[in-house]
Amino acid sequence: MGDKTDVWQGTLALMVLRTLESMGPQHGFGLARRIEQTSGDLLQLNYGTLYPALLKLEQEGFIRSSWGVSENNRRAKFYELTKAGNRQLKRAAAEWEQTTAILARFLTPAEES
Amino acid sequence: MRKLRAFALRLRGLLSSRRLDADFAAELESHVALDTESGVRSGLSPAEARRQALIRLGGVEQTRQAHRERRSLPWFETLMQDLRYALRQLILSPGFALSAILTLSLAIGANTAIFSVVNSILRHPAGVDHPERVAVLSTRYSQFTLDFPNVSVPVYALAGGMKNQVEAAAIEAGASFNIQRDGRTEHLDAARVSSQWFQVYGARPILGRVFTAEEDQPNSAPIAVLSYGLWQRAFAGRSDAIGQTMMLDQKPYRVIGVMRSDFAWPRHYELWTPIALPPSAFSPDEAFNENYQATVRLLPGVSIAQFNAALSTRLWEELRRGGGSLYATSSGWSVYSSPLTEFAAGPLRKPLYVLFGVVALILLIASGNVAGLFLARASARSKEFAIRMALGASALRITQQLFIETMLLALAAAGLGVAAGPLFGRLLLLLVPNHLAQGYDVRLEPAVLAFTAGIALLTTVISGLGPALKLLIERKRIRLHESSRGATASLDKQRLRSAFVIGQVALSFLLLSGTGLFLASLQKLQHVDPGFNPSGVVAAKVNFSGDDFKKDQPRQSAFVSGAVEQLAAQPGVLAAAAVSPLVFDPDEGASCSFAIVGRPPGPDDPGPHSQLTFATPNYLKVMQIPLLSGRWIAAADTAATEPVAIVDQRLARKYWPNQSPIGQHISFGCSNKPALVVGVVATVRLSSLEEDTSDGMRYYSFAQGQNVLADFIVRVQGDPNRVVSALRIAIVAADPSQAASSITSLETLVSDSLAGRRLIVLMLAAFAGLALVLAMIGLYALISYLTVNRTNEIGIRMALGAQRFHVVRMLLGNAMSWVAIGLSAGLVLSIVSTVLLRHLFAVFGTGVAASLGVAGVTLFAAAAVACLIPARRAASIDPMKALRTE
Repeated sequence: MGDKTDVWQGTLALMVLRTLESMGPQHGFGLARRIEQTSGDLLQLNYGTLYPALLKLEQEGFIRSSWGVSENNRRAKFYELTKAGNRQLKRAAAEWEQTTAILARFLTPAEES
Repeated sequence: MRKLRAFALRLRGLLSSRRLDADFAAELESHVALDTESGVRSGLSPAEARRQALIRLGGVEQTRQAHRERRSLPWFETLMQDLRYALRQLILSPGFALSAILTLSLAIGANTAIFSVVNSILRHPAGVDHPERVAVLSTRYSQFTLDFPNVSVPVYALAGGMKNQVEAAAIEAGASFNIQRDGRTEHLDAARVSSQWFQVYGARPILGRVFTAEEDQPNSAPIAVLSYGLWQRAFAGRSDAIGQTMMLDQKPYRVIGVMRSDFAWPRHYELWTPIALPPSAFSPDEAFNENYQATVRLLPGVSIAQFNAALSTRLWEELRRGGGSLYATSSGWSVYSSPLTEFAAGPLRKPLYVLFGVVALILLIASGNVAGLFLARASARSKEFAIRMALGASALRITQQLFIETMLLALAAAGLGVAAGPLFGRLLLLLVPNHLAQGYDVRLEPAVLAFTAGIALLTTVISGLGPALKLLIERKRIRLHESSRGATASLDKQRLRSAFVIGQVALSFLLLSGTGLFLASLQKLQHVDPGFNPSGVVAAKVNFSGDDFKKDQPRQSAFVSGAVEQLAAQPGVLAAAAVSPLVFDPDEGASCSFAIVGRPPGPDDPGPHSQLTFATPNYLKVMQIPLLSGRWIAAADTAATEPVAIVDQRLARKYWPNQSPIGQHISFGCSNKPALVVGVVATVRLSSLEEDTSDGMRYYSFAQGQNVLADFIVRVQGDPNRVVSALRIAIVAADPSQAASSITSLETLVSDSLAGRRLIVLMLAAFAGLALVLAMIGLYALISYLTVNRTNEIGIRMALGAQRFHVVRMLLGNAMSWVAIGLSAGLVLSIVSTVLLRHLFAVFGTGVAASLGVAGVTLFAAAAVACLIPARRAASIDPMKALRTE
């Protein structure tokens, strides 16, 4: 348990968007669970921090929310991706991939020529 | 875009915060329930599952707080909180808030008013594009102490040809036309201008076009550009006016353009026609014939000083080539340009600058007052600050709080002041005599608004925040115990407040004594004897209509003698005469060099020079100017007889000391023709009671000269207004083609020459009154505050046997010593400014002792009253009660 990583600033939004894309509409608890699982339980996610991030995404128009009923018949607020959110996901994912690719070049040992 | 949308939603979040709170509470509740359920499913007890769910969530309250912060704008909420608190604070002490706002808005209003007038008159004359690049040419003859804004045609042509400095140049000469409208003859002030006139001012027509260079030639077809006002009057603002014909002096002029409503230059002129100067006007012989006003627009980046230097070099080159340098050197001749803005303000300049200084003083006094108020308030609230700091408020937060309170006051005061300012400004222009204010308009310009709003905020923030900050900085140690039993106001704070009071008293004294000084000078000027008796004299001006008439000397003198005869026959008229130019008429005046026959000037002597006037036989009788020796112009002095001249005493003493000029011959007018001197009359003032501008006067017979206008003057018995219509009728009866353009009483003209001075006195009196009231409020507030703070001390003193009288004397003595210090400082200020102003204003500095004395006594009495009320109140309290107050 000791070597779990904190969520980096800014990456949570991307994780939320990606998770919503793959799972479809989902409530906050489900999202938090899923993000933890997807990370292979390597991420230490304080569930509470998810809500301001969701609110921000909603204010920016990337997701929308509505009250619904969960699989075990509980009232819960469901979040789903909007069209703008879809575009934002593609853009952010591409940027992120580029960033990691650049960093990877620095971090892998260079081949001496 | 996304950011903006999020911001808007957060703003909305501010408003519906309660509903959103409930919504999020429900969402969190469902979250915890889902997590608990999942825990139970994996075998935990419900209580343990819920505990773990809450741990994973990281606390319900923290989450809600984080959510709330994201939902709306936290800094904005703090701000709103502070605002609400500040408003509550101000409402709780309405006396403080009202007096601070009123004091400031009065001062700011006064500043806005004066600045809006200064802006429209001194900085930006209406309708002129980039006025800082427009310059007016003036001629100076240092040997004759002459300096006037006119130049000759060759000088104008030379200036206009300096293409490296000058973008456009134009020349103007006044003209006047009579038009027939609705069967009545109406007089129009017009200007004959060269083709670049409008380009110089950057003025564009709203209809049609302006003159081309080809149209500005002798013998080209007569055309005219109308002012907006004339277009409205004569053509009812119809756009088909362009191309139509207007009869001016019975001659058809084609209308080619209409100017914008804000352009009227020269002021109050209504019509422009091409000047069409003949080639002979450009001859070097005309170099010293300054009959025109010339203006230039400088190229961007060329300063007036650069242009003047270049102009002077070019002129001297030209003079040496043309051979006029001898006269130019001996007469001290030079030509220079000055900014249009300086020229345009004319006699209003000095008063406006004085007023500008005065309102700045008012603002200082007001800020002193408000600073005093804030300081008292900050002291009274020191306990509040101490408690808030003890409860964990940071100094920064308290400062922010104070800043918001101050800004609220500043905004209220600035709003009121700026709103009232232009109204004050218009009132001010109403007070300015008509002939000075004509053509000026006070408009609310962004520059004015920015200036005054900036000043308002700055003053309030400095005067409000300064004392509070000082207090806060001193309050590093939390002193909850201060102002508890036994304490008297700390000496330090007293010193700061007394400095404000001393400053206020000093500045108020300066204003009061200044008012007295200007009043004394005005009274003295009003009693200056102009050398004639203006009371009961009415003057009617007739600008000769038609080029033929202006050149037709016999017809002129027939008209003038006919009209004078008609006028003299009117009931109530004691005597009638005609004259040109009329004394004290700001638009008239003539002077030139002349020769004394048999006395040629030496090589370095420019020769004699004086003003001149053409008059009819009854002139002395109407004006009541004494004849000293010889005779005056007679009806027999006509074009057929020998030209005669009469000189005034000043000229006689200057050129014929210890001998009589009678029998000598001098030039007739400005010509080479000789005239016989037949009499000597007393000297009169020419244009102003403020200063004697006369170099001596020559009088000639109207019947022997040729003029462009005549001023008919009549001395009447009883009410001068009764003869006004009789005057008009008599003039039309003498020649139906001529009409009187303006009729005024000579007394008005004379008194108008003091209009600037009168304006200063009026404004100063108003502002000094304001300053006095402000200083009284300041003193009253200070003494009240101090006595309240010393209630305990007073109680102890009285319990120990002090009498009421002793207490009052102690409190008063304290306050009056500050007043005395303030008065001494004010005395020094007054003496310094008297010395400075004496250079600017004629007849200034009389009645110094009286002015200072009256100001001192007034201020001292007012201060005593302001201090006595709170001091007596403090002294009449019950000692037992006083000892119990905290």
